[in-house]
Amino acid sequence: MADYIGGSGRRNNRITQRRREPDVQGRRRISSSDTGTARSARRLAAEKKRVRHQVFVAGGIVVVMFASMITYMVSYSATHKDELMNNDYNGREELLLAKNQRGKIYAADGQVLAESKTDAKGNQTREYPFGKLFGHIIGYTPKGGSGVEQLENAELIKSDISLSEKAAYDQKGELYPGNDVYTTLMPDLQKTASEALGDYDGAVIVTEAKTGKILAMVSHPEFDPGNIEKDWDSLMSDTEKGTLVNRVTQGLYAPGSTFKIFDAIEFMSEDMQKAMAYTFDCPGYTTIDGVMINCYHWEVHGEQNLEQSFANSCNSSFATIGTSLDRDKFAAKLKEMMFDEDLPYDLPSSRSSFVLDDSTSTKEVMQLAIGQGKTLMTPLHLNMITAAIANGGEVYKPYVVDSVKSADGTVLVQNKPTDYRNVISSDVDKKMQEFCREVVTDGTASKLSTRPYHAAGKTGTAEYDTNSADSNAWFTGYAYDDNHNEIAITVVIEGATGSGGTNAVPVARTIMDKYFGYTPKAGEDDDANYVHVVNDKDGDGVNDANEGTSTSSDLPEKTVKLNMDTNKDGINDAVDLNGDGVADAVDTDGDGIPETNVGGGATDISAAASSASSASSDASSAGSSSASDAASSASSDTSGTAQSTAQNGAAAASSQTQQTQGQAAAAAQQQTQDQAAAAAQQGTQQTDQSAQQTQDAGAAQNADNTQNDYVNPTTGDAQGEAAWSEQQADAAAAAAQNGAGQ
Amino acid sequence: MRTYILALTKYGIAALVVAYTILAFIMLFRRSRQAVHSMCVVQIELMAAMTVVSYVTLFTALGKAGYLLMCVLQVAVFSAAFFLYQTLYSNAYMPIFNNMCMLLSIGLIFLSRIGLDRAAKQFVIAVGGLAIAFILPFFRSKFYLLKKTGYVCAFLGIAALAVVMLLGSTTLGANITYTIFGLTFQPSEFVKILYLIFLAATLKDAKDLQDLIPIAVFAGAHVLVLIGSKDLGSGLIFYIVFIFMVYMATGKVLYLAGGFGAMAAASVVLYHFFSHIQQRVQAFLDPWSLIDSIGYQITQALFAISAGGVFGDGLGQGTPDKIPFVESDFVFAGLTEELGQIVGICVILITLSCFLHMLSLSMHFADRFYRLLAFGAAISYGFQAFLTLGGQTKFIPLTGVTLPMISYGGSSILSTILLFTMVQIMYMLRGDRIDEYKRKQRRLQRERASYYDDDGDRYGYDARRGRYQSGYSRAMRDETALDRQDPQSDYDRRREYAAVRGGSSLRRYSRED
Repeated sequence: MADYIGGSGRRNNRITQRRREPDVQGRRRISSSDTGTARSARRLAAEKKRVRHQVFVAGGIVVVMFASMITYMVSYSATHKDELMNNDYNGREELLLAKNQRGKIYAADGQVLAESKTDAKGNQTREYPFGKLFGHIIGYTPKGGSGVEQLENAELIKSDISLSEKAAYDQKGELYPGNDVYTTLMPDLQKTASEALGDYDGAVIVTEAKTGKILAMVSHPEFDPGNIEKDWDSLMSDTEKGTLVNRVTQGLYAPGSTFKIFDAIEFMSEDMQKAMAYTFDCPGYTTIDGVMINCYHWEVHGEQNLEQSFANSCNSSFATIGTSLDRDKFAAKLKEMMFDEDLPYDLPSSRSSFVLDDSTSTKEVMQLAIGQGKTLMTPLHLNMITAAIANGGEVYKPYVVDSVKSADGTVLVQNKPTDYRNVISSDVDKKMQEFCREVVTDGTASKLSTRPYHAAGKTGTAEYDTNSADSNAWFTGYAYDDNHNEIAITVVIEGATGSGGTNAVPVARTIMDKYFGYTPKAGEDDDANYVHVVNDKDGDGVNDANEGTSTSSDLPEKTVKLNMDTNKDGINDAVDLNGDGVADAVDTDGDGIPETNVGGGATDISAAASSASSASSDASSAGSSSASDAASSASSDTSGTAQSTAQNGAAAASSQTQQTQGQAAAAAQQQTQDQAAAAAQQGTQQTDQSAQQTQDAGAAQNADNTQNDYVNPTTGDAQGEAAWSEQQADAAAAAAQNGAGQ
Repeated sequence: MRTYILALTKYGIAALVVAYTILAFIMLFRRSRQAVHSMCVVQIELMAAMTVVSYVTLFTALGKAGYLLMCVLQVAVFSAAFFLYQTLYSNAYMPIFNNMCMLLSIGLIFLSRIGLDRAAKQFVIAVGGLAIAFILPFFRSKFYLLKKTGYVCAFLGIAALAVVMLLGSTTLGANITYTIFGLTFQPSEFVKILYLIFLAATLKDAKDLQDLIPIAVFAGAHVLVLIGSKDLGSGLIFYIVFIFMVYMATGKVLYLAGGFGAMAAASVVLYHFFSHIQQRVQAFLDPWSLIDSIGYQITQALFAISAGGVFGDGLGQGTPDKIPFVESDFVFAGLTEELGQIVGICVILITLSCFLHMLSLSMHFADRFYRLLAFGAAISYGFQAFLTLGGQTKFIPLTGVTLPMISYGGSSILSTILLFTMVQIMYMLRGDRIDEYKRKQRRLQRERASYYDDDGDRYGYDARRGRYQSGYSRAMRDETALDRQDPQSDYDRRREYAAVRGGSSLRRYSRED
């Protein structure tokens, strides 16, 4: 207070001087003269309060500014640490590498996946003992890096050994050993998976369902990370193959029938009672709002409940279910199940996508329900969902780095399984497990049924190219036995000439065998065992419709419970022309003449048969098989007509084809019956004559998914093409939209 | 051994700096002179220890004997300065002096790491600055003359700035330096002090808007000339100082808010006129896509700050020289890389504590001129530090002002020391007056005591503590009883009594002997 009374300057001195007088008057004067000062004292006190307030305001502003600046600085450098360290303009990596030797990357069993060697000049070279095998997941270091090399770059180039050891290394004049990364990968499983995939392009991922550990991740075509700099230009120029793209995490594929997992989950989640009571009488096709979708090869599944529909992968049934689902809820459920969002995965991954809202057409909803159209998924995503089914609905974050240790063994980072989200309620999950098991025991994945371990899953075949026979064969499933952890496997094979059941399941089976240490008995995997002969009234093991012809040894599934009498008039109106156990022709208009000839069935028959029924074959089997080259060239003159009529809005139902086709079609139709018999004979010969691949293709088309063929001419949709990078994915999406616009 | 020194000393340095910083903040709230004194001594010891450890590390890492020489010189000079200052000026405010020395030390250590020749130059400048800090307070009795300068300072300042604008050399697109007698200096740093004096001298009498207008015109002239020289960082500081000082003088938040609003509007206009503002804003918004050009410097700074992590790479073991102009514009980012984010944060906090110490001093000045001057000095220092620190951490766009006392550059150091010394002088003057007043009060008390003490033996007067304990209170009670019919005089007497006893404001850093 003194300073306020004192004020400033010399005036102050005068006052105090006066106060000094030590007599009675002086004392009196203090109080009396202060009555004058009292007002100013009060004013000063008020001013002091105001100044205090002002100083607090100004100080507060600056303190808040400084505090937020410090917070920003710390959080920015903490959250962007690795990103900053990996930036090419940051020269500190070289600085660290001048001191430290880049650390090693180990597999789960302790084998070295990547290590550095330092030559006499101090130059480090990175070596990959397994060569191409781990190319995508381990990645490479130059050019910005990829995979684990990039993910853990900051750790690999650091060295956290103890000081005394550093001193010892200094003594020896050697570089400090960098930190080592221990992955969850299993080399033998990876090798098996890569070999099982063979020459096909595609992707395989194996994870531990209860933890999210990635045990194997294969993407074909492969590259050798050790030669990346040498091969860089050729890899970059080859955009078509997309070798550098990790198809597991970045490849976007139409999920095909594996998407029925989502349909079933949503159906049961909406109304379990209704789902359990659900039945569908499958005549081999279904028409909703004028759009027809048929089951593979017009396969008539007959009376199906949900479980059977799932096991047999009945398109008609699921298209019906799909259109009956509440769109908002379904879209919400799909989003909950990680569509349209970034997967919880540390390395780059693409977003799975779908289109479903109130403006989506029925046709698109039907396509969605069977995993076609604009629906795209990454194999990793499907694998996570599969693991969730195995795991009571819990999605675990997939991870590949188990721990980071310094060279002397100190654990620096220990990753733990992360429960990401529950996506399936427990009662639905229980049912899903039963369904997936049924697919193995009595469905499209029957190739797994003889195994002692418990396997379950779902197959799928997605056709991505309307102009070729190529399709993506899917299998996603899980398996466990008493001694091993549950594993989830997802396989996608690009350009497979067969279905998920024929191509993808054996790959998964090989991997499971390896994991569970099972050696198949001789003849156990002989595919002939799975031929399920139908319509064999005389019990001779051969279909009555084409008695005398041999069955293909490549018949994939024992799904077929073919009801040859689709309209229940007591007359078989479906005919299995080629004896593959599947109806190739069906009499849908009830005139007693099977007028269409479908999918792979057509290819098995001769070119003549194909051209005879060219209307349907062209309208339907654009992508059916490579064997149809001959067929399509033979029928090239009529195909234009067929397509144009189909695009005019007529559903590709064979009956309508007949009406709209005009005379050419009518003639062809009449020929069909005659030719059918001949075709049955010729088909066999043709099979023998044509290349083995052709036959495979035809038989393989016995998959669970061909609707694409039928919907396509009427829609002109660009089907879900595998898109290799995010930009390409965008381009594909744009293309799909354009296609839809046409 | 080398391995151990290089790996471990950074923790030692961090610990010493953290301890120093904590003390600097504790002293903001401690009022006992004795406690503050002992804490200041501890601080000086911590500072010396930090200097020794840092130079030993640098010597180990880079092996130049010059580091040891710098170490000895630095410890000797700063320790001697501290004790000498304290003895010479018993009323000096040592926490500010200490912070000044600490920031100079850190700056010198970092500059030595970049290059010893620069550090030597800087050291000479620092010693010169300390000399100023020593000499000026001798003439503090004439300090009141500054009150009368007013517009003279404004004319001088504007003239100096105009000369630089027209004749000065261009550094990085801004006309901000001027060479005279072979010495290059940046006049805006010194004009800033003239400007503060001008504002304080004129605003102390400003009552209403009418008084403010001429002041605003002159202040605006400063800012415009600076903008004309493209020294936008300084222009911004001048402007902010103006609006804060107007706020302080008038007490109206409206001026502050309106000032900031006008600043925002002006920024938008200036953005469209000056291409280098546009560049800096672009480099701030997305440095990564401009990493090849204008984003290079800031991204290198971010790399450096992040690379060091919590404790840094250790002195001599990072690559701070990758950042262009690290010794002047990006000294903070550079030292954070090697000394770690902890030390970086401590440097920010020491800077902040300087600001807060000055601010709290300004609060205790009764004289409006002193109060405004100290307040303006605090604001100008605080915002300058904020602009450069925020720019280096990508919190705000870069403005190209230096970090006071750490950055390389004589003008910056000398003007900041001048600024601090001014505040120091005002505090000393206040202390002198308090001393004098207390002396007088004590004498008055003694005389009054003999007056009250009936037997004249001054019973009850504690000569050592300079006041009555029981007797005086009794006397006051009597007095109160006498004057009960006059409440006003009672109020005054109580005030007086409080003042004599050492009222709340006196208790801060007052001598208790």
